[in-house]
Amino acid sequence: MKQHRKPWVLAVTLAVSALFAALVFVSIPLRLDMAGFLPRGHDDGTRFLLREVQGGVAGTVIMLGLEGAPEPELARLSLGLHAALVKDPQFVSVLNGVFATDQAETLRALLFKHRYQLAPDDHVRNMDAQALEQAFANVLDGLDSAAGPAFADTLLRDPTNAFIQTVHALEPDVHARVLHGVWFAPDQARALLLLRTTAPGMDLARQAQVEHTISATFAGLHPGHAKLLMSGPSVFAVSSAVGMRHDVDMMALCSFVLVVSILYWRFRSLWVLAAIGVPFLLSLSIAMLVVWLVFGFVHGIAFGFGMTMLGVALDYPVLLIGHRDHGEGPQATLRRIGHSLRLGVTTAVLGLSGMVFCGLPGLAQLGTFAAVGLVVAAVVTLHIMPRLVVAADLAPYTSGPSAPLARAEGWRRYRGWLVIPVVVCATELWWSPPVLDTRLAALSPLPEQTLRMDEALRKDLGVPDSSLMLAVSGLTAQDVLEREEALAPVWAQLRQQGRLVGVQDAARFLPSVRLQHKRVEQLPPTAALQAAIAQAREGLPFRPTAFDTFVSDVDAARQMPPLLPQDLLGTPVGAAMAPLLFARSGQWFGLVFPESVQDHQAVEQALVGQPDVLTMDMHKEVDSLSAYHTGRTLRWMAVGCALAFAVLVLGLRDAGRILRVIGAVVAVQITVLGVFALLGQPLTLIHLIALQFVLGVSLDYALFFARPQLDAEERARTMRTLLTCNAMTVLTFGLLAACHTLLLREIGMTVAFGVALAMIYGFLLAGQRQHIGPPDTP
Amino acid sequence: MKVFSLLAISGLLAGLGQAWAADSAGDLSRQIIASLGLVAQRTQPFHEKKDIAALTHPLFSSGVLAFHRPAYLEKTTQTPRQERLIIDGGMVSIQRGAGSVHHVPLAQSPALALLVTTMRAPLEGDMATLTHDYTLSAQGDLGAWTLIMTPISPQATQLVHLVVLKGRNNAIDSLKVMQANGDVQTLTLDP
Repeated sequence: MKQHRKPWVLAVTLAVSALFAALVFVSIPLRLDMAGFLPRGHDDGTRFLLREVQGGVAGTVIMLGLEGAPEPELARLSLGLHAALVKDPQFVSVLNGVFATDQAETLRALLFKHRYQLAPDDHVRNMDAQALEQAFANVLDGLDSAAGPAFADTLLRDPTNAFIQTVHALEPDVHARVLHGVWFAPDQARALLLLRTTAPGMDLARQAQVEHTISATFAGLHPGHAKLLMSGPSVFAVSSAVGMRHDVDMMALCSFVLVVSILYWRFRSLWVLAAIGVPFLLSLSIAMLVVWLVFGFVHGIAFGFGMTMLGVALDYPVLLIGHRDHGEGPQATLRRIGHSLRLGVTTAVLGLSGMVFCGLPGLAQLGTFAAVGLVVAAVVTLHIMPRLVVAADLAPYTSGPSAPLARAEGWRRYRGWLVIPVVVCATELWWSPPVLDTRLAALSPLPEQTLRMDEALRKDLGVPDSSLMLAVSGLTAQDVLEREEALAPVWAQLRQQGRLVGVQDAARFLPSVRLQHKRVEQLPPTAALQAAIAQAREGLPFRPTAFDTFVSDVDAARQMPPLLPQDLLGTPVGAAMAPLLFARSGQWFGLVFPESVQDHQAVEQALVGQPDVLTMDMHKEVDSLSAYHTGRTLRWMAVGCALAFAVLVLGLRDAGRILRVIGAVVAVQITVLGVFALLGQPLTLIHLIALQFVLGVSLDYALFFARPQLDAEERARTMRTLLTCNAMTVLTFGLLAACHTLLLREIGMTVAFGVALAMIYGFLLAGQRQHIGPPDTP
Repeated sequence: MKVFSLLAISGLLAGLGQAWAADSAGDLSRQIIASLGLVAQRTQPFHEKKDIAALTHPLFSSGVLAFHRPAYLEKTTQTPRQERLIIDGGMVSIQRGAGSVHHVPLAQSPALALLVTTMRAPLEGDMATLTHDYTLSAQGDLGAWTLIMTPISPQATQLVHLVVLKGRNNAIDSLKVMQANGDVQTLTLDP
C-alpha cells in the first residue's frame, strides 16, 4: 500500500519464483500409497518378502460382507453380486460359496481329465474289488436320487469321486457356514464374498475403479437396508490415499488462506504478501525438488507436512519485515536481528535431525522437506529479501509500543508461577514416565474399528493376514513344489496340535510332477481293474459295460503326462497360483501363508532346520523395525540437541541468556511430556519427532525474546512479530489435527500445542524483565 | 399336481412321426400351459421309474410332489430311500436320508437348471422359459392332451432327447424325459 519507490524488482522476483514453483509442482507427481511410507525391511530376505506381500497375492484380495437384511435377501444379493462380477475382467475370481470351479468350462474339463493326478486323497485311487464295491453302491444310490439322472454319466465315469475331491481341495478353507447356498459368517447374519482383482493391490487408480464397480453393482441390486462392507489391503490403500489427497488439498488451501489472512492483518499490504511469497514459493519448490532428487519420489504426506512448514519457514521473512522501520536501509534491520535469525534457523534445522536420520523413508522425507524449506527460507530472507523489502519500502502497519503490549510485558513479573505447571508435569513424569510405543501399528493410518472388521472377515473367509509367511526357493518350479510338499507333514502336525488351521501354497493347487507320478503309479493296470470291477458289481444291478468309461479314463491317466504350471495359465486356478509360485532373477520362489496361526513361535520352531525356507513374522518384523528406527531417532535427536546446545553456547556467549533460553525450552518439553503422561498417551516415534520439532521452534522464539533488549520500540516489534509467527505456526499445525491421515494428525496436535506453549514460556521466561538486572530462570 | 422329474420319454417315438397342424398344435400347447399355470398350488403322490442304460433293471421310487407359486417345487421321495429335493427360486437343495442338506444354485449347474425348467416351467405356466429350451407341440384336446417338448437350445439338445407330458385339463398325469444318453425317466402322478 505504501509504495514510496517502484516495487518492480519485487514483482519480477515474485513472478520468477512463481514460475519456478509451478514448474516443479507440475513436473513432480505425488505418491499417495502407504507402502511408499513404510519401512522396507532390514535385509534382502525380508525386503523381498515385504515386496511380494505388497505387490502380490495378498494385496489383490477384497473381502465383502453383506448385512442388515434377512438372510434370504442377503443370499440373493450375494448371488447377484457374484453373477455380475464374475463376468467382469477386473476380477480374477469371485467366490461366495457356490461351486466356484464351474466358472470355467475348460478348467472343469482339465481338472476332470487329470483328476487321478490331482486328487489329494489316496482313497480315490484305491481300486481293489472291495473299495469299488462300496464306490459302486454309492453310484447306485446317486442314480436313485432325484438329481441323479442329470449326473448319471459323471457318476459312472468317476465312481471313486476323484473329481469332487480335486475340486474340494482347490476351494479356499473358509470357516463360513453355507446358508441358502452362499457363505455366511458363522456367528451372525452377514453374507461373505471373497474377490481377487486383476489389478495389483498397489495400483490405486484401478483399485478405486474396482471399488466403484462393486458399489455400483451392489446398488443396482436394490439392496434396500442391506449394507455392503468392503475390506482388504487395496481398499485400505485407496481410502487412505483418498484421505491423504483430501488432506493435502485441504492443507494447501486452508494454510494458504490462514497465513495470508494473518499476514495481511499484520501488515495491511499486498506488497508484503508478495514479498513473503518469494521465500514461500522458493522454499516449498526447492524442498520438493531436493526430496525428489534424494528419494526418487515425493510422498503426499511429506508435501502436506511441507505446506504446514510454511507456517514456520515464513517466520524468517516475517521477522525481517516485522522488525524493519520505514526508511531503513537493507542491512540495518539485519544488523539487529540477523544473529538471532541465523541461530534460530540453525537450531530449528538441528531440531529436525531425528526425523531426517530416523531411517524410515517417509519420515526422513518429511524431515528433509522441512529442513530444506527452512534453510531456503532463511537464505532467501538473509540475501534476497532485504533488497526487495527496501525497494518496496515494506514495514509493519503498526509498530512501536502500545499499552496492551506494555501490560503484557508486565506479566513477566509473575513468571515465578510458571513453576507450578512445570513442577506438576515434572512430578507426573517422575511418577509415571511416558511409555514408548514402538509398534508400527501406532503409525497405521487405519482406525481400530476398521482393523477389527478386517480381522473378522479374514477369519471367516480363511484369508491369511500375511502376518506370518514363508518363502521356499529352488532352481525350478518343480523344486519349489517338492519342497512345499516336503513341508506337508510339518503342517499336518502343527494343525493337529491346533497351532494353525492350514496353509496356502502353490503345491495345494498343483502337485509336483514327482507326486503326480507317484499317484498314477497307484492306479491298477486295465486287466486288474476290469477284474476288480467284475467282482465288485456282483450283487449290484450294473451291466458289464456300465463302467467302460471309468476303465478307459483310468487307463488314459496312467499314460497321461503330468499337469504343469503352464497348463493352468489363463484358468482361475492358474491365476490363484501365479502369485504363490514365480521366478525372480533365475530362481524360483514359492510363498506359503499359514492360516489362523495361534502360536507363531511354535510354527517358527517347527521350521528350524528346513533347508531353503525363509520365515518372516511380519508383525514382529515390522515392530522390530519400528523399534530399531525409534532407537535410531532417539540417538539422532540427542546428537541434534547437543549440536543445538553447542550452537547456542557459541552464539550467545552469555551465561544468563543461555540459561534463560534453555530454561524456557526445557520447560516447554517438560510440560508437553507431562500432559502426555497425564492423558496416558504413549509416546510413538511420531511424538518424538514432533517434540524435537517443537524444541527447534521454541529455541527460535526464546532466542528472539532473549535478545539483549534495545528500546521499547524494538521489544514491541519483536513481540508483535513473534505473535504473528506463532499464530501462523499454531494455526497451520492445528489444521493438521483435522487431517484423515493419522500421522499428520498426531504431528499437528503435538506441534500446535507445543508451539503455543513455546510462545508463552519464551515470552515469559526467556525475555528480560524490564529494568531488572540479571535474569532469573525457573 | 405337479410333475417333475426328468422323465425320459421313450415311448413317444410314434407321436413324433405324426404330422400336426402347426396352428392348432401351437394353440393347443399354449392353452395347455396356460391352464396348468392357473393352479396356484398342488400336492400329489407320485410313482417314478428310471430306466438307466448302465443298470440291468429299472429303479422305482415313490413319494409326494408339491408345488406352489412362486417357483417352489418340492419332491419328497419316501421309498426306497428318504430324499427331499426342494427347488425354490434359483436354489436347489437336496437332502438324502439323514445326511446334510446340499445347496446348489441353479446358475452353477446347467444340467440342474434344465431339469428344473423341464419340471417347473409347465406348472408355472411359464411359456417364455419353456420355449427358450424347447419347441412345443400338442396332440388331443384340452380334456386329454399330450404335450411334446423337443429341445432346441444347445444346452438342452446336449442333455435331453425328448420330453412328453400327458394330462387332462389342468392336471398332469405323467411326465417322461428321454435323455440324450438313452436313459429314460417316467414320473406318474396319482390323481
